[in-house]
Parts: sequence; structure tokens; C-alpha cells
Amino acid sequence: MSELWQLTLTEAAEGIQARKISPVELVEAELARIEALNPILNAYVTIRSDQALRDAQVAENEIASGGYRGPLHGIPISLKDLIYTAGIRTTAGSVVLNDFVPDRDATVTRRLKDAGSILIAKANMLEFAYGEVHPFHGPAGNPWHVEYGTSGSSSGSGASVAGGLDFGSLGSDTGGSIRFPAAYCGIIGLKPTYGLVSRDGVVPLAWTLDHVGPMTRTVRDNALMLQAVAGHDPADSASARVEIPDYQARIGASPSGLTIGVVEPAADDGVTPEVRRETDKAVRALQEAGYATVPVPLPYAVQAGRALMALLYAEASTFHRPWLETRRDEYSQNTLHRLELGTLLPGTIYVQAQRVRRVVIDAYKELFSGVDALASPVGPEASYRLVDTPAEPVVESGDRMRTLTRFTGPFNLTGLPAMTVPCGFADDGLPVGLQLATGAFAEPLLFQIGETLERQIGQFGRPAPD
Amino acid sequence: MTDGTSAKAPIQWQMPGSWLSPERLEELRPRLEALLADFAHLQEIDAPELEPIPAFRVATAEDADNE
Repeated sequence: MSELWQLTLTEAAEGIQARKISPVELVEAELARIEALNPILNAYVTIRSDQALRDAQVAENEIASGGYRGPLHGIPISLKDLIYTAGIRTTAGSVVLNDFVPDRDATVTRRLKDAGSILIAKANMLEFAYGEVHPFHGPAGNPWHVEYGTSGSSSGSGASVAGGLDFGSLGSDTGGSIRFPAAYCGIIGLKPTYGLVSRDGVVPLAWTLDHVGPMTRTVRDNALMLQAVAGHDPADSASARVEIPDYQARIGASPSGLTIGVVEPAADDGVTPEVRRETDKAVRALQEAGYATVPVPLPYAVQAGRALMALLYAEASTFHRPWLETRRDEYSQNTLHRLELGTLLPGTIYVQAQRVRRVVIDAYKELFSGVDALASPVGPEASYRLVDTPAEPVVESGDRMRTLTRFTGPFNLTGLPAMTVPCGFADDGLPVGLQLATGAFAEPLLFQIGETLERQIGQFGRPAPD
Repeated sequence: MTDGTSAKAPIQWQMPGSWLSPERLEELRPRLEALLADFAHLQEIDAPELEPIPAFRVATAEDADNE
């Protein structure tokens, strides 16, 4: 491993702690990488070149004088551009907020700063995290093949981590927006348990479905980032009061006695043969490592998708409603379409969706009383060619959206933790991911199983080849 | 301004869609009808005692105090 940007976050942290790697050198290496690749990948919308170098010098001085803060100290990271950063614009991938400069940090921004990390850039994303690229910001390219997309909405975070432009990024996930770009870009993406990571200072898409979580090249890196941001925050009304464990504690533990429920294919799930082939292979790898598996159905798959969409439409439109009259020309066509539709839905639909949500949550609790974790595809397909994205996209039907989020959406609805682990390649060489999920606040188990799979597969963990 | 997302004009509640032009409402109608038809299926899950789950007590209801 000759280049600093090729290291994992964990390796870079070990080098910094041992004073074999300088934070300034690390930031310089990433800035060179960014200069070469960001014009191609469009991963970032704001780059903090000079400021990041100054922050790195401060970190270096602190470490030299014995003030080492922990594994994120001196590590260059990025944030999805809907996370507030004091004095740094936060666009949410939109034109509406293109000039918005928060005067405070989000709680997660502050926690990452306190851990000593270096914010190197704000990452590109889909407009307001609502499924569409705003033409003003443009799509992020996939580092595995720049003619392919990253999915979204944490599109720039997926591209930057997979491209080796940073060592980790925080994304957000309302229906799969961390897990999809992680799968398409061959990295780890964790949607933690609802309430574990603060949403304070994060531009909302749908309050009861939004989650903030880390995107990294390895499972251990992901556990390190989660460790820095997890924990109660009185500024977030949904924040949980739970004891924060050592998220690496179970990595390497025995699989003995653990059972993974493997989601049975359904006739209408739309999963392509190549995604099925690679995820089946991943399940076999977990079996070979010692995990027991049993086939399980996805509880209320269709109704969970409907409830998710009903909540999403209503909550997103509530947040955006005042701007829809005064700034409607600044939205992209499809985002505007969805937001206007959401204002026309009766409130009774929202309440019924919350009733259905209770049923789905109970069904998942029952499911996790019989298995320790769940494995499924992340989505039905691998990445797509950007040229196949229509310039004037048509609004997707609810069926299409439900099919896309069939495996990811239930974990936004139930709040249970779910993580993408890359597990293979589609026929065109683009990565495919496996989704692992567990019961509430069981992230250490997720990291245990994820790291096993990572080791068994052995093809990921480094930036995509140039 | 401390929060860009709160820099919005107050709204007055009106008849649904009355703030949209008739032409725009017509454009939205097919998709709205499809959505309403789809969401109608949510009523297939029902029971008299079934109450909506409180908005911010999702996964954490039995696992943590997230008040």
C-alpha cells in the first residue's frame, strides 16, 4: 500500500497514533486526489482546501504535544450537504438552499469535530434527499465506472468514500439513501437504529423516517465513525437514552448459536438474476463461516412500502409547503411534482399509515425473536448507466418506488438498524451489496456479521481501482 | 437568520389544491388518483383496537426511553 489515500480509516488512525503518519500529509494526499478526481466524480459541492490544511496542522500540533483524542483525530472526512456546518454553506443538493450558510453546527458535525476529524468537503446529494438529481448540482459519478451512477440520495458520499477522496462520510437515509449508494459504490453504509444518532441540524426529508449514519470502506471504519456520533442528544426529540457500547466489541466473535434469516425471493420483487446470484453467494459465505441460516419472508412487504410512501409524501410536503408557493421554480421538475402531490393527500391516509406502521413494527419484533439478523439484497438491481437517466425524467410510479425500496424501506419504517456490505459484482463489473439487519440497538452484532462477510468476500475495503 | 430552513413565509390553510393553478391540478390529477387508489389498500390492515404508533417512538418504544 504505497499511497496514503488508499489506507482504511483504521490504518490511517493507527499511523497517526503511532506518529508515523502526519494529518497534514494525509490531508495533502486527499486534496491531490480531490483535485484529480472531483471534476470527474462530482462527489463534492464544497471543498475546504485551505481550512482543512489549517485544521490538520492544529491536529498535528495537538497530537505532537500529547493531546491525541482518539481514532478520528486528524482523519479527513466529508459530510452529506444537508448536515449543518457553521460558516460553510449547506445546500441540501438544492437551489433553494444554495446560499444557505448555517451559523451553527449540527450535533453530529460537532461530535466529529470534538473527535478531532478534519472536515475536508461537503458531499453532493440528490435534491433535498428526495430521489432526484437537481441539474444545477448534477449527478455524482461511480468510481468503479464513471459512466455509471451512484444511486442516492447520499450520492456524493458514496462516490467520495469509494473513490478514496476521504476516509469516511456521514450520509442520511429515509428509504435507503445510505444503503443504496453504499451498494452501488462497493462500500459499507449503516443506517443505525432510529434515535441512536442525532438528527439535530440535519435538513429533514421526513422526520419520522430520517436517519444519519456512516459510510466507510470497511466495517471497522464504520464502527469507529458510529462510536463518535452515537448517543443521546437533547436537541433531537427522537433521541434515545441508551448506553453506548464499544461498537467493535463483537468483531471477530464466534458465530456459534447465531441464526440469520435469509429473505425468501418473491415473484414480484424484481431482483435481477445477477443480484440474486451475488447475494446468494454472500449467504453461502456466511454459512461457511459458521452462521446458521433459515429462509424467512419479508413481513408485510407491500403494505410496509405503501405506509412508507404515505408518510414520506406527507412529511416532506409539510416541511416544504411554504416554499412551494414562493420558490417553486427553484425545484427540479420531479421533486416539485412529488411535493405538490403530497399537499393534496388527506390526513386520514397519514394516520392509517401510522396504524399500519405499528403492525409492521410488531411483525419485525416477532421476526427478530426467532432470528438474530436478516440478510437480503439491498435493491433489485446494481448500478445503471448515467446516460440511461432521462434528461427530463418522468415521475416514477408508486409501484416502481416501492419495488426499489422493498428491502430497505421497512427498516426506515421500523427504525431497526440495517447495513450494506459489498458482496460481489454484477456482469458489468459494478458492485452488488448485501443488506444485513438486526433488532433495535444491536449494531455491534451487525458489525460482527458484516466484518465476517467482508473477510470472506475479500474483494473490497480499498478505493475503487482508477 | 440562524436556520435557513425556517426562513419561510407563514402559510394559511386553504382548500386542498386551491393554491395551485387549475392547469397544474389537472397535470397532477392522474398521479394523484393513482396514489389515492394505492394508499386505499392501507385500509386492508385494520382492527378496531389498532392505534397509530406515536410519531417519534418507532424502534425504541420498548428498548429505550427516547422521550
